[in-house]
Amino acid sequence: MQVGTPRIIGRGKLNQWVAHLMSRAEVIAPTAGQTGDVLFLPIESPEQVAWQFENTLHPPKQFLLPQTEPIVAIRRNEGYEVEPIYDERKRIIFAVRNCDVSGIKYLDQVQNYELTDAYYAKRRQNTMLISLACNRPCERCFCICSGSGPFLEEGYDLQLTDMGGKFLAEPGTEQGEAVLAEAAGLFEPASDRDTRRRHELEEAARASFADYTCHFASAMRRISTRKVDESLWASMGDWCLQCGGCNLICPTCYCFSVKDRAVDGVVMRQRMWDSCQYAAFTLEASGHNPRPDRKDRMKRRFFHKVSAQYTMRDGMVGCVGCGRCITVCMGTTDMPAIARGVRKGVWNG
Amino acid sequence: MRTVLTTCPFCACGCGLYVQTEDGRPIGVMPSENHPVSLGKISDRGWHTHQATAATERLGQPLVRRDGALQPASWDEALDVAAERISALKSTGKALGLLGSARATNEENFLLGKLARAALGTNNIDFSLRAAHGPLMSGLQKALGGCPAGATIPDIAKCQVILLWEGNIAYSHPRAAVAVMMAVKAGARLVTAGYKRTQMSQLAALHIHVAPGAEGELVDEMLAHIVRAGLQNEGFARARCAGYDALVEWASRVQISQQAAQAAEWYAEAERAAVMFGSTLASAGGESNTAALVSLAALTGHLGRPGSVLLPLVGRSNVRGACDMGVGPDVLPGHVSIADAEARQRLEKAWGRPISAEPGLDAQAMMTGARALIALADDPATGLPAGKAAMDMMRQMDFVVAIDSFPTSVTEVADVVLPAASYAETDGTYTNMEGRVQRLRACVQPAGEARPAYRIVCDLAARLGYQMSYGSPADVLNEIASVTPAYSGLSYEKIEKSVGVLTNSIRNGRGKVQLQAAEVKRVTDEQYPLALTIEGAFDWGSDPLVIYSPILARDYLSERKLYPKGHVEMSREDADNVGVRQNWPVRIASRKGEATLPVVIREDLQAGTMVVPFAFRDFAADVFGGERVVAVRAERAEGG
Repeated sequence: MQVGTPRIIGRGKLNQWVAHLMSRAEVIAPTAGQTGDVLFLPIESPEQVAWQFENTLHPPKQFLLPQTEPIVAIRRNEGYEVEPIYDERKRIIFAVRNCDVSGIKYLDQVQNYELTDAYYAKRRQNTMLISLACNRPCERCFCICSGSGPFLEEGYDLQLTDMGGKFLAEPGTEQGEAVLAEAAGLFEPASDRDTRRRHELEEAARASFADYTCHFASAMRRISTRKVDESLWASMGDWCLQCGGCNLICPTCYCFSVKDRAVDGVVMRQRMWDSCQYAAFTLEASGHNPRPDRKDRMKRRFFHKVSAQYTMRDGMVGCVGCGRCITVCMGTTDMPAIARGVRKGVWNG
Repeated sequence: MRTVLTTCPFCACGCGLYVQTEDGRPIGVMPSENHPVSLGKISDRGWHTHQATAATERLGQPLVRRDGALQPASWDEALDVAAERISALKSTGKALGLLGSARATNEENFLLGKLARAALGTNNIDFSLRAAHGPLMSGLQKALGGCPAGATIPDIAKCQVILLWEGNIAYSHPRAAVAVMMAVKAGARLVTAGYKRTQMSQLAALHIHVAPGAEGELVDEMLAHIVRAGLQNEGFARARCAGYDALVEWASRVQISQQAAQAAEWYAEAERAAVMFGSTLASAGGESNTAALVSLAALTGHLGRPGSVLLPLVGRSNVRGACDMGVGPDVLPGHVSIADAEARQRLEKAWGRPISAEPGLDAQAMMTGARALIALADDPATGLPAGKAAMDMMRQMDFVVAIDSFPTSVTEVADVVLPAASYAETDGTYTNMEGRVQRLRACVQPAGEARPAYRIVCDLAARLGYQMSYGSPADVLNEIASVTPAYSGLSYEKIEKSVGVLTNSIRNGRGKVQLQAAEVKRVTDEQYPLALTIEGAFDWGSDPLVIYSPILARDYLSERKLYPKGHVEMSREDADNVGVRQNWPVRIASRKGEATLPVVIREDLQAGTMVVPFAFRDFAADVFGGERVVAVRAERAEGG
């Protein structure tokens, strides 16, 4: 969904533009870490942006759903004073990949079912997404299988495409259009040739996914109709070490636990990331655990991610094909592997 | 928001991760994709590295016991009281004990050793987890004589055959478990040996049941089969090993099971093969079992072969480092025996004080033999097999100093508590089980008035009349490098450049590998037909880093909440024989004593073996009577 008109910025003017963005908000961008890892972090200068990156192992979802999130401060005076803690910082997540934009779109829906989550909503209202489309798929991704990349038509405020010596910027929202208008001196209108080139790049990217695919549809059919044998879940469960990494780095996972901790004399109620793969995640006070074994927890995870029931509710599978779980998994039970196991009805590790 | 690359402070795999902070508080963790150990994969514990250091319960104020209660004091007061009482006890000839720790850094452990040996003139220094894990290291040291040991976790993934003497490495060493899984996925044959069908045994090409205490029997059978079937590398065995002819003679008398023969053949014929062994192997005759495994590797030519692996699965993050730093009553830094006069002289010259050649008290002996204790991040009640009894013993002492970041059973009984900067607040190094020396980096400021432990040890030493002065932990590592041959040439700068440096703390010499069989200890007999064992040698649920991390505490302590009085595990068959059902009380009796515990029936246990988790060992202390494996009989108790 295009709002406004696409424009072009020369590579040489990018830093100037990023500096301008930094003047209006905290800019979160891919940066190079100590061991060569690329991490999404707030930048202090435009030079910090790591333009040459595939994708980060750690998703930028933490800027909307932090791993540790103080939500209420409780002070004891004569009675109790309870103060909600909202994070209303203006932020721009810059050069975010489209799979992550799709992940945030998914979270936007989930956080607005029935009751809106005020903490998420405040962060989201103040966060702008400037995406960087992928001209070639990264080694582990399969976003093409869940329609969450490599290029998008909506979900972003601005979508950038690397055209060689210049970048195409397509606004997806009024806000995106406004940001372009603000920096009008740095941009020029895109020509028809530029837009054609962008579509050629998209086609080329789509064509180069090769084997990196994940057949959600047939996996979904089997999972939703309970055609997956318990013994298959058990075999797959034997290859999971329950580190929870798949949940924690998943752009569409949002489960948390709540804990009160005193910080400088004030009791802070905090939300913290949690994983449905942890044995006591569903342990009840009575000692009963509805998902006592690895296989039960794995089955639950993939039911949530790829069943027809959830897909119909959410309008998409619970996977954006970023492929992070392939890298982070301490076993071999990443999304494409499980989808393949479920589809074929066999598991060989 | 800041991120700091550091080393995971939990198990001995030593994964690399970033701790994220905001406004000076740790808020999250990001795994490092390019770190040579983790390669983007960290365990549930690693993912919660940021939590414990921010705990409400952190120690941030020096405390001195007055009128029976611990009360706030200034640093000077607390250090003065500690130094005065220790000096007084020392001058009256009372024995002092010092405990280092597997969760303290190399620098902290090294300086504690210096405090003990140079400032206080005692070899009474140890750490609680050494009893269970030390034999894996010392067994290697004694058996190897000179061949290079060590291999890396990524090497495991490339092996064609893996022999795994299991505790449950999916739980104890997840990153090493991943490497095993990768190898199996690539077609490797995995052989697991243990008394339980663990997760890894489900992936095994062959699982061999071994009764607790009889782990060495399987090693012996494999050794014997290799010799009898002519699978040995005789040239290597004769040139590099001693005792070959005696082993051949011995082998002719051993009865060999088919499974052992199969495992031996796979192992001997593989080009690259791994032997991984943990604390279950140390449960009876740890050193001899380890030495027999070295013989197995030497006989088949796997010892020192590039790509082949011999890896001791030591329990906690810095067990190997603490051993390397000489935190033991009979060893100096670098696993050098206290009896080595040349090594003592080298240290005496560097430290300016004489060092006794007489071995000191180990941690267990200190509990009754020492009148005063200085414990640095150690907790005998949770680490020693003696369990809670250690707490009563510490209460009987004249004076206890606790240096720690978290409340433990030592801080509870201590006379002086000196709050230390946590793993996330101090610089230092850890040595993982591969021998990789890695940086631990300060991510946030210390809690309250807490100070880095290396400074606390120096301040204490100064008040005891011995000057130790270092500008930073980097200076301490420089000294370690100058007096510890295996660490020579190490510096923070060097570690920085290569994200950790692999050392080989096992001394290189020209000695021969002593070929030897394992010690076999079958405990059961007709009267006491069941083998009861303490499972594991370490319990994450009693580790402060787990206790004070909310998500981990929920998972690791849930079992304890369900069984406040402990439990004993039995196989279905044994439970049927005894006539008990889940949670019914069962009375277990050994020749040493008896106890009644609720029973948990497990499908992964084979008949003949009963198990008490390490965390519950206190509830069956009388039955064990100080042993890790005992013969028992079981019967249904009243109320069932």
